[in-house]
Amino acid sequence: MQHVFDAFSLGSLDAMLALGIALVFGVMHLVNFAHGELVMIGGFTIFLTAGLPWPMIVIIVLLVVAIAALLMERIAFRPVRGADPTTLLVTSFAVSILLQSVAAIIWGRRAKGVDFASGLSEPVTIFGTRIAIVDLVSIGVAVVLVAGLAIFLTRTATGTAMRAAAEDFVMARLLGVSANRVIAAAFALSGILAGAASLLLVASTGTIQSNMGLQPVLVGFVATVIGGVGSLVGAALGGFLLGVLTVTMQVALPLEARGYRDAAVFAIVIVILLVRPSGLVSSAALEERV
Amino acid sequence: MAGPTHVATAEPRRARARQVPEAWGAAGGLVAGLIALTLLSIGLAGLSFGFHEFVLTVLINLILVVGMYIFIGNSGVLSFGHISFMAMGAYVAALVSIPTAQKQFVLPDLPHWLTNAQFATVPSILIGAVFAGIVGFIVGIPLMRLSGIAASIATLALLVITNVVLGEWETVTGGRTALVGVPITTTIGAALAWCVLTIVTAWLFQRSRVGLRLRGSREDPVAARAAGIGITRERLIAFAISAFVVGIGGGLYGHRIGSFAPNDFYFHITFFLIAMLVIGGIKSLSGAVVGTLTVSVIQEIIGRLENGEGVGPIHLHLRDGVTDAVLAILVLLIMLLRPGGITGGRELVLPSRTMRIFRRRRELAA
Repeated sequence: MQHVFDAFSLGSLDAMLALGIALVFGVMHLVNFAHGELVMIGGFTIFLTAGLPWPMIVIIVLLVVAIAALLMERIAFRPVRGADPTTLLVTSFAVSILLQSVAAIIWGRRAKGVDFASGLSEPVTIFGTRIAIVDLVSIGVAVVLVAGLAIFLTRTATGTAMRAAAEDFVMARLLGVSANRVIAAAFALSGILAGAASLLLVASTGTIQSNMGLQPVLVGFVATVIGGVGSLVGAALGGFLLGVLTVTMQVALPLEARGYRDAAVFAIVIVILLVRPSGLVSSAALEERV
Repeated sequence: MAGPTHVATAEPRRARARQVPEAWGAAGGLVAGLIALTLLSIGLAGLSFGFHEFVLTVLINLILVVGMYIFIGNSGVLSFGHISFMAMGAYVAALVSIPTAQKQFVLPDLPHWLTNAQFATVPSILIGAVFAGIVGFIVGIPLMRLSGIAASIATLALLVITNVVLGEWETVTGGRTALVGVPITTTIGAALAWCVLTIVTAWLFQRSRVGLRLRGSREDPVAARAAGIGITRERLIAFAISAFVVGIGGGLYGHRIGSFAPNDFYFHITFFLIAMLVIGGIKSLSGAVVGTLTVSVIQEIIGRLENGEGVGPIHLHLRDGVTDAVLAILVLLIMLLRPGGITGGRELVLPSRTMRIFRRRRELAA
């Protein structure tokens, strides 16, 4: 029971990260390395606003990270839009390193402790098992965000335009979808997801660091790949699956091999890629047409 | 936007017509470049201890970047996993060359045959490189079936796996803490010799049958397939050679700094080496070399300022992280303004009268 909750809470965090990456990938075929740095920016925003009442911190963090995502798109990614995949990948890698090093220049490379919502680490007893409140909150937040995203994508004009753009960008533009608006919307949403992820991460770990974005972005990549690059349903599914996989490894591996958990998870990713190169939910947009 | 559009222009045809004379010109450029490199490194190294260290760093970086270029440049597939092979080269070379007595002390639980193994520098580097090459070949068999973004992410997974294994396999690698006591034996002469060998190998490879087929598949995978190129096989060969060369670079690196930890072979150095490759121009050997030289000089200047050493009359004390920030901005600018890098994917060509005569003769024939 304990493990089930662990798997679900980790899975919901992974799913949030994966969705943020998949949203951006869907509309501009950019694998965004700097998504992790959005989480880092969220972390440092919490650090700077520490002391304010928590609802304000939450709102400020979500706003700041969404704006950071929009700026990132405007400054770094818009000029290379439509370039070949290598250029896009290198650009996002450089943006990621740039933001990391700027944080290191200002605050140093060492980890800092942050007292944010530490009450959430307290356990509560449900169905006879003790679960940290933050795990429950993670699951709740993920459900709300995923549901909200689903409603946005299916019920609003911008959401529909985004899905159309993810399917066939050229055709969508020919039918009057504004490229700038759709891509900006994708970045803003991915920023909100990254901000939410940073709040949950900091609430559970209590530390921030200039390179804290690395692990989340790796997790996000892996989850998107498992689910199927370019598919949003796949990304959400992949995230939850990754959480389950990680916890299963944690439990199943013998004690002395537990350190190898991440290696095992990443090896499974390669195997999944081999069996289903397009992921569990394949999307038509990825296949290049001649 | 969604997927590249293949626009048929006259450009490729014109480029092909020039190919033969350019090949000769490039050979001349290569030889001239190597001579210049040799003179420059020996001359600079003589100046002071600081320059000596700098030249060693540049030569090892050259081996690593050219090694990565053999795969990335020729295939067009960006790999984040090559530093794994550098790590393997460094660790294996260290394990077979640290003196037995020292190994008993540093790594007491090492298997006996490995504790007793004690090779000289060159064999130890070769053993490390062969190990990296074999691992590259084996992991390449599945990885090379992937393409595009899936391939890049899978190589990223390889980097993470290597890092975790090196960090956890304490009996053999010493775990997360630094492995110490590697004999410091890399000299300028040795590094230069390896470097020249590497550059010549890369050049021979890209002119070889497999290399040309691979470059064809980079430009247009569909057309290459239609022309009967399997791509997977070509990529696998390039990947294994590339892993071997990067393994040599890793061995030299280990024998140069004497102690290293798993995290020395992770994203930070991956970014630096990829930055060298893309700033110079990912698609040509000259680009790999030019990029390495450019970035190494910038890195050295800012690094000295970060340490508070000063460069000539300039005395600034920069904070840790400035080098990364400057390089990242440079990479961004290159991506925005000149995505082909400094060389734009062209080789350094030696302009000479023979070349011109050769070209004119071809034009007359055509």
